Amino acid sequence: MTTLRLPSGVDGTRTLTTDDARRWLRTRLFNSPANTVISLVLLAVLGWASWRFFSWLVLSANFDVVRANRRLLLVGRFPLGEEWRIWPVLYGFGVAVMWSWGAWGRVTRNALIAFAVFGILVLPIMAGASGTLQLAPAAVLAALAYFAARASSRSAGGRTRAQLVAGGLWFLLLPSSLVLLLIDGGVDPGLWGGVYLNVIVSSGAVIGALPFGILLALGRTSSFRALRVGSTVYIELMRGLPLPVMLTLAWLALRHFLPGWGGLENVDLVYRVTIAFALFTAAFIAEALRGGLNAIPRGQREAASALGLSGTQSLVLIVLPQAVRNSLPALAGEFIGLFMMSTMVAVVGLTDMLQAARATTEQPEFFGRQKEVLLFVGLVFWMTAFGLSRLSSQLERALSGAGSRRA
Amino acid sequence: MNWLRDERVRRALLEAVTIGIVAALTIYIAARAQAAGGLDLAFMQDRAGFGVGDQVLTDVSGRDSRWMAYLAGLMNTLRITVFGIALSMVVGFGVGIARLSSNWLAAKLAFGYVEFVRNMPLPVFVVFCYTAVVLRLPRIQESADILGLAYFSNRSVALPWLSFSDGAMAWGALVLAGILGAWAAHRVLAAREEDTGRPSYPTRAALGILVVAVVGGYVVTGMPATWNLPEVGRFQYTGGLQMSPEFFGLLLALSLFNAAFVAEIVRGAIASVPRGEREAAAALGLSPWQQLRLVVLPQALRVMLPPLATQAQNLAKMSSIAIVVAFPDLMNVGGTIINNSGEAIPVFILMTVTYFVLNLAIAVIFVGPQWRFSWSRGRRA
Repeated sequence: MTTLRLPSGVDGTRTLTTDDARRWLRTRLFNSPANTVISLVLLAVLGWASWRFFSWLVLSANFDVVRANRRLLLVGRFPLGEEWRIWPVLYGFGVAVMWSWGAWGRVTRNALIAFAVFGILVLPIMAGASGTLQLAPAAVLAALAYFAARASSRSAGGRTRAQLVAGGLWFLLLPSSLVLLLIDGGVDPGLWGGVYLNVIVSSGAVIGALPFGILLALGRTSSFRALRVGSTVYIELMRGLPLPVMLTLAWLALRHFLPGWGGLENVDLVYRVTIAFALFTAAFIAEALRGGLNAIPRGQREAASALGLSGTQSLVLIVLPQAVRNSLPALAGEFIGLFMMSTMVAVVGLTDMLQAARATTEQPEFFGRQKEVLLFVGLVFWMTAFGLSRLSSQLERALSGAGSRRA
Repeated sequence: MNWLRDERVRRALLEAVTIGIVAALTIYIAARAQAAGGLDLAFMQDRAGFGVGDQVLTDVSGRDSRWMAYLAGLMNTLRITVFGIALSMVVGFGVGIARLSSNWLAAKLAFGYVEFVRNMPLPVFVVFCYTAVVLRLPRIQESADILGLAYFSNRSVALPWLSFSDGAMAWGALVLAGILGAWAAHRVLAAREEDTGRPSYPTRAALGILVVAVVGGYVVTGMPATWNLPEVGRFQYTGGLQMSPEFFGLLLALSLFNAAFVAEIVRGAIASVPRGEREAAAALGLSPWQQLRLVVLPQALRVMLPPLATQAQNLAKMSSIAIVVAFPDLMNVGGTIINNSGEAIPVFILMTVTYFVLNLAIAVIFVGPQWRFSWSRGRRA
């Protein structure tokens, strides 16, 4: 007998009986002849698909391709002995995500289940036990960060401080990961690869795209005609252009537009691709911010100028912080999308995680193992996107709660 | 220097400065583009020097001009876009309606599908569909088939299709006339029904005219269309509608991916129709299907058309990922032209313009019906 929590119980819990199960099935699956037919068909399809999937998983799937190529998938052809440039970023990323989560919300049950299934079941099966154990310290540190942020944000003041710390973590993380790549001789950008390249390209693009996007959004809502027209044309041009075309432009033709200071026009492809991503994403960030800017009441600016703030001061101190806060969910969506679209670098021949995965099945012993390795790649991106989107929805809820308290 | 304190003067000065900055940037970019070839497209008339695979309606060879190769690429982009939009709309509507279904299993499965796809990068999805699904299909001699009608193999996919003979044009004209006639009859009878209050059966009349036009026209013009069923040959299929593995894999990935977004749009639009509308329709004695068709869907359609147009444009743009599976679409052919002519900037300007026109066309096709909706709403009110 399992006890499950049922909403109808007086004390909140009671024993689940077969009658309950029957009622559950009747109201949800078999409440009309049409629904009965639909349910039976769907059950048959679902059963067939699960049988096919699990028989493949148990009988013919072989995840050796992931285990043997773990390094290639994670960092590509990154030189041996240079990993110290990478581990701090991985640890920092986990800590920043979980600290932010603790500072703004809490891990919901569904997210916890997803994380647990991924970390305890999926990773060990696919990447092997030793590969999972390598990630264990990072996971423990991230969990500790989460509980520390939860504990320190019991009081309202502590919460604000924790949120500031979270902001600082994110602000430090992106530049420091780039600095780590470049100090002490650095590593040739041509050797950056794997999922690490996805992280580097997308975070580098965020750093460039955010300020540029803010400028574009301000330009588009500006009262100066030239700025308005210029920003609008730029934004609409980028929004109408397919990303692969933009990436190919960076590959083959960006040098025509870069000024020739100190060999800037022949800068490495990774940087050019990052610039292209930044130029492209800035237009979408501007659009996301424009919504936030338009939502700010006129009275805010009027009150600022009544207090004697100059136009620039009221923009930087009053308008922009609120606009960024209003459009944080949309911005988070853009950043998640940017991370996923960074797999498009395949178009210009960089070896990101997806391209590395395609390369593994050209090794003779792993010929025909595309399903296994691509499933793994897909799951890694899926879990990252899922976690970040849950984080952003917690953020959204926390921010809307703050707004309603003040009102 | 008192005039500098004048608000209007300062404003005009700032205006001039911003115009100067924007103009300088524009001129810089234009000058650089001009120096790198600009709009000089003369090289497009030279021999292409490369073949374009996977052509269906065109037959361009390496001896033709680059313009012809570009055209062949454009046709492939149009092909994948049209098929992709159609398929993603069909699947997306189904999934979107299933998400609102009273059937628990259908709603949960649809929800799971949408969540699965929305957190997955499109390139991973495309590569998976191509290398792990389509290329892993059986060899052509051992093709998988559906009831002997459609065949799937790693070399090619073949579906039943119509093959047309001489009278097809005449039949098409008759069908078109039937559609126009049905539309006119529906309008006249519906107006009479509204004016006189007597039932005039506009839908039945329209359907009757349509059936007569299609079936009657088919017989009169000498049965110009017959089913063309594919057959398995030794090395290839014969007959039917054949698709290359690249096209089929890309089509599968693009349409299943976009279907999840279409489903969210459809669900949101249907949910945006107030509950009271449906309850009122039920109180008037309309059946659930009638409630959906006559009350909910017309209102939901008006809400969902603009975002659906954006989604369709997205599909057109995303189809340029074709290069990942080596499908020769517009962007792939454009890249090849850049490589063998060295003229990057002109080709980019050309591609940008082409995608803009494509996006514009999609917007007109999708938002075109919306004008009718708002117009007919205004007329009734």
